[in-house]
Amino acid sequence: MAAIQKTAERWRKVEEAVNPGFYPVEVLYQVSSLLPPDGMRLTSFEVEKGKVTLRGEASTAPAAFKFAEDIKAKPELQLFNWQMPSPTLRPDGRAEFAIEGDPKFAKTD
Amino acid sequence: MAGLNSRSKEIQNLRKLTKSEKRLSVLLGIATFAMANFYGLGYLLDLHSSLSREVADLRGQEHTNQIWLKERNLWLARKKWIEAAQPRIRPNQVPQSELLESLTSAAASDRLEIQEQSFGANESTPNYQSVAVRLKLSGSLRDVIKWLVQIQQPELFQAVTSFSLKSANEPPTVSLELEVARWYAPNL
Repeated sequence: MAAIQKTAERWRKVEEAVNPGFYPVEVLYQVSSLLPPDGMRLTSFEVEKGKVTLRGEASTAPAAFKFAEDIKAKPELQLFNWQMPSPTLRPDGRAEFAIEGDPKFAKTD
Repeated sequence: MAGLNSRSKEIQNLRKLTKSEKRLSVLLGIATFAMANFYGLGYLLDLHSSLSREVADLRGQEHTNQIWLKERNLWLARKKWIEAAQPRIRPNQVPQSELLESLTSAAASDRLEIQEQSFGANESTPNYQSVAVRLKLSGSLRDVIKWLVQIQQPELFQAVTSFSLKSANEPPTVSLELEVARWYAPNL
């Protein structure tokens, strides 16, 4: 039992390198696949110590909220806990948003 | 012999208990019995609750162990794979330079413009020895994605520990700053 648990612990420590679900390019691909055909764009995508932050602009605030909900619901993105603070509204009605994802399992030494 | 006789006389001289004294003695006996039962019962209840907790903990532990045992083959396969696939630092190898060389040559072949390159901090943990490089580059989003897919494959043991992708002024050009670390097998 101890040997199995030790292997699991070792796996978790190297998961960022060996589990494609944590690769930035994979997360970006999964997130991009949820973008509507128009009215929304991503402006930046960052990963720091496993935490993902993506920023973008939406034509309306409800569109930004829907995008965040779609991210939370996508099975391939369940390795992260996603949350979105309230978007910032511009005078022209467009909304700037930031969505953050904290990894659920990966640990860094 | 004389002492024994005087003692038995003393006993004979003791008066009999009155009715109310007898009643009080019975009450004292009942009270003592009730108190003893009260404390005894409290002790037994505490013992029971502590044993119940222990049983619940053991059942939880058993359940967890059963899950681990169900996943035994998966974890053994992963252990085998890590031991076979994780790269090892060979004698006379300069892993940091090799990592930088492999990343920059792949970037050049994917038509990416390298704007900055530097070495990151080396790190040693019980699970890996890490060498890292930092790069700043730009190119079309398509080429950046192609390069990222190429440099991050499970068998390479390369983690992107820091990543910042921003849309440049002329889409689809993007600028990317990242740190890539290669996690070699630890020194045992």
